[in-house]
Amino acid sequence: MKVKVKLFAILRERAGTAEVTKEIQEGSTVADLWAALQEDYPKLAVLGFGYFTLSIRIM
Amino acid sequence: MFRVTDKPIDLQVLVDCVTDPEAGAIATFIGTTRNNNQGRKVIALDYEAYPEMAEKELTRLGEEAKNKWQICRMAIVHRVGPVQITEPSVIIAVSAAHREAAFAACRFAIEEIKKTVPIWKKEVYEGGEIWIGTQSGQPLSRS
Repeated sequence: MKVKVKLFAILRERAGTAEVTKEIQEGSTVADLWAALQEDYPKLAVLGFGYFTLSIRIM
Repeated sequence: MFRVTDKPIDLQVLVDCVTDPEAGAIATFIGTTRNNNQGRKVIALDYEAYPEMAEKELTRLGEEAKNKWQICRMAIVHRVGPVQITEPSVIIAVSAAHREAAFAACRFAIEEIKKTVPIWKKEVYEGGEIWIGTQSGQPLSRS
């Protein structure tokens, strides 16, 4: 399934984009999505998990 | 009125908005941008919001305040984008029949905004910058 992810503040700056469309498997968790985003945008990797606000919309 | 704006905030607009014939008090709070934080000299500030969610959350705070205190009306406007030092970044106005409720609800609103509303602040200071916010009020990361 496809999701649209909005990034804000430091996440947006590090990724260099405010919005990402991502294909993920059914049953994926937010942690799975975050891991996939970190692969696409390596600069997010140093930020860890648990502090941030993302907007995730299933398309 | 619960709003996020990229324009300077006008106190009088909020006062007019909460003016009510049943009110005996209007309390206002103005959060302004200062030129220092934790020993660092701040040269510029930039606010960013998730605007749809921030306005929804500000409205929810208003409802919560109405449940807790006998207030007439409340208005909150938060600025986004670059804000010059000394300018207001947030203004709250509350009207109530009596001043205790107006003061209490005003205080409640500013404390809650910092905890729950998705608005972040970037402080640019001499030699670096830092993002502050995401609900905890704690610095997240130096970049």
